[in-house]
Amino acid sequence: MTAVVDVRERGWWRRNAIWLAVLPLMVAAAAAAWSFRLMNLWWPTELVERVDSVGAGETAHFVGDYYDLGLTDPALANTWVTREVDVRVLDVREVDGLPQSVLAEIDRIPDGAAAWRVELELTAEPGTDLGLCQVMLVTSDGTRYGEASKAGTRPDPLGQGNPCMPPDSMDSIAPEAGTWQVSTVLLTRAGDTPDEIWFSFGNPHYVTLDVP
Amino acid sequence: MSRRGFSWRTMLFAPIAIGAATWFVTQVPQDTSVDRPFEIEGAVGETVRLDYADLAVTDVRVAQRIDGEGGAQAGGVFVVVDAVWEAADRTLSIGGAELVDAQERTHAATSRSGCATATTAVPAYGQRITYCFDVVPDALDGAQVRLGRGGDGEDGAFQRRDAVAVVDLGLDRASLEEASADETPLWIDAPAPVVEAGPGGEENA
Amino acid sequence: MKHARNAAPGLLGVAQNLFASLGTTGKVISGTLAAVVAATPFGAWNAVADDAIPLAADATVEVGPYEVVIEKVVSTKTLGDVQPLDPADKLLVVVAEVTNTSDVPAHAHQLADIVPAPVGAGVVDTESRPVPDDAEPGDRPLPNRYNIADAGELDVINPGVTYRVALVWNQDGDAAPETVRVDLAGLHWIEEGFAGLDDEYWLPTDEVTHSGMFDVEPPKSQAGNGSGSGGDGGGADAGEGDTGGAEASGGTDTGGGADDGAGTGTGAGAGDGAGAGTGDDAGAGGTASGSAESGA
Repeated sequence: MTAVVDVRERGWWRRNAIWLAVLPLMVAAAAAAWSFRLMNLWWPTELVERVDSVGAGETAHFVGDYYDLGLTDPALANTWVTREVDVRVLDVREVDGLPQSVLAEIDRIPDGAAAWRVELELTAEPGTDLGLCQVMLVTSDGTRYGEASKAGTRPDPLGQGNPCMPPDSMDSIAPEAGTWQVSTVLLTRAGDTPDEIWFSFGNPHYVTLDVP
Repeated sequence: MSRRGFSWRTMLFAPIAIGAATWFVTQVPQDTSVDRPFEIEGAVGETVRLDYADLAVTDVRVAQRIDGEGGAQAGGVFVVVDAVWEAADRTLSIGGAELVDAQERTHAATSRSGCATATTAVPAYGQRITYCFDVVPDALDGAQVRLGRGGDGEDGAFQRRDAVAVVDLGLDRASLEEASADETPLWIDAPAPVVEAGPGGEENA
Repeated sequence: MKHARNAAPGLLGVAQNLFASLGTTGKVISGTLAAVVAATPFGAWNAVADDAIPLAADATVEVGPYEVVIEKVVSTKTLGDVQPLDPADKLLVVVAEVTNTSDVPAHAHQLADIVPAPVGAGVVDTESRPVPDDAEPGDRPLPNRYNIADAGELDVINPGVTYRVALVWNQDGDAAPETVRVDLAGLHWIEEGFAGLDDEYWLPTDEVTHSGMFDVEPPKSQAGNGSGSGGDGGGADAGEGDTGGAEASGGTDTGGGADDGAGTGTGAGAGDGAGAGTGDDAGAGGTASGSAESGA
C-alpha cells in the first residue's frame, strides 16, 4: 500500500526515468539511421532544394548555383555561376498526338500512357546557360514524369530538344528576347492527372508550379 | 597542462574504445541477413512488382549466334532475355543483370553485338531491354536471372538491402538443341519504349 | 651473432647477454625474428621475379580466374580490318585460349594485364615509341583484344566459357625477330579492400610468373596476298574477306573503335594464320574461317 503511494509520489519524471535515460540513445540511433541523408548537404544527388513554390498562373523564380566547366562560355570555366530563371505555366493539356521528330524513338503514344503538352513562359537574362533543363509533371501521389536520368543524358524518346529552348534553337543559351515561350510534350500513365510542374536544371535545385 | 592536452586516460582509453567499436562492427553479420537483397521471385511472362519498378521477363531464347551491332558467336551459348521495365514513381537507371545457374555460378550479361546491360526506366511506359548471357551449356538447367536497378558490382555492393527480381527461365538441354539446330543469328534490338502492350506487357489502371 | 662474442660492452654486449639468457625456444624465436628483420630490406618478401616458370606453346597456365593457353605469336601487316596505327608498322598478335575456371564472371580487360607485351619483339606504343625490353609488365602498352570467333570485342568471360582471343600490339615495321619472349603476369585476389570500400576483385600484380620463348610467324610479303602460298600469315585471307570500310585502328586503345571496325575479317585472319601458318592445325583454321564466313 505504502509502496503504491510512493510510486505515485515520485511523479512522472521519476516513473519514466528509464525511458528518459533510453531516449537520448534512441534519438542517437534514429539520427544514425537517417544520417546517410546528410550526404545531400555537400553532394546532393537528388532534387532536395525547393527554391520556390507558386500557385496556378503565378511566376516562380528559379535560382541555383552550378559549377561551369566552360563548355559553352570559356570565360566562365571552373567558376560557380548563379542561374536565375523566371517560369510561368501558360497551359497544361492532354493531347492526342506526339510531336514529329526524326529523333523520336516512338511515333505514337504507348498503350497505357497519355501525352500532355506543357506550355511555359520563361524569362532570363540573355546569355544564361539553360543546359540540362528539365520540366516534370508531378501527380498528387508524388510520381514524377519526365525527370532526367541520373546516370546520364538519356535522349527524350519523343526526340524533343531542351525543353527550355524555343523550337529549332541549336544551343542552350537564353535568347536575346529575354522572355519567350516554350512548349514540350511529356508522357504519363493514362488516367493520371498532374497537379504540379517541377522545373529544374538537375540536382539539387527545383521550383514547383501548380497546374492551372 | 592535462586540461590543454590529452590526458593519459584519453590516450589509454581512446584506442581501446576505437578497438572495441571496430571489433563490434566486425561482429555484425554482413553476408546474409543484413545486406542480402530482397529477392522477389517471378516467372517468364509474369509481372514482378519491385518497390521501385515493375519488371516482366517477356521472352527467353537460346542461340549460338546473335546479330545487332556487328554480330557475335557464343563461346558457350547465348541466353537472350527480353524484359520490360516500368519505373514506379520516377526515372531510374537499371543496371543489374546476372544469370545464376543451378550450381550457383553467376554469369554476367554481355554488351557484345548490341546487347544491353543497362537501361533507363520511366513511370509512363514500359522500356524493353534485351539482355544476353554467353554461358556454358550446362548452365541452362535451372537458370535464373537476377534483375535489379543496382549494378552487380563484383561484391553485390549496389544491391544491398534493395529489391531484386529473380526469374526462373525454364531452360534445359532441349533449349540448347533448338539453338544448335537454328543457324540464323538472333537479331538483337537496342532498348526502346514498348508502344504496344502485348502479352506480358505492363498494365496500368 | 658470432662476431658479438668479442664485442666490448655496449649495445651488442647487451644483446649478447640478453640472447644468452634466453631458453632454447627463445633463442630460436629471436634468431628467426632477427633473420626476418635482416632479410627484409633485401627484398626477401618480394614475389619471385627472376625465376619465372617456363612457358611453352599450348601449355595450360592458371592465372587468376583463368586458364590461359598461349597458342602462338604472329607478326602480320594487317589482321582483317585491323591495321597498325602507323602504316609503316606491323601488328604483333598473340593468339591465346582463355577459360574462366571460377564461379563468377571475369572481365576480359584483365587479359591485357595477364599477357604483357612480348619482349624482344619491337613492340611500339601508340605514339610509335619503342618499348624497352626491360620495361615492367605494367609499363608495357596494352593490346587490343579480339574474340577470334566473331572478331568482336570481348567484355565479360563467364564461368566455364572458353574463347580463342587475339591480343594485338603495334610492332616496329623493321623488327623481324625470329623468337620473342612471352610473359604471363599474375592477378591477386582482393577479398576486402581498404576499409571494405572495394572488395572482391582481381588486382594485377604486374609481376611475371611465367615466361617462355615463342617462334614468331613472320609476315607475308607486303600486300602481295595473291601469291596464294600456303604459308601466308594472318593478313592475306582476312584482307580479301572484307577490305571495304576498314577502320584503320589498332594500337593500345582498347576502346570500341577498333573493335567496331574489325568486322569479320579478323576472325578469318587469325584463324587462317593458325591453320596455314603452322600447318598443323587445320581444325582451328577451319573453325575460324567458317565462323567468319557465316558472320559475313
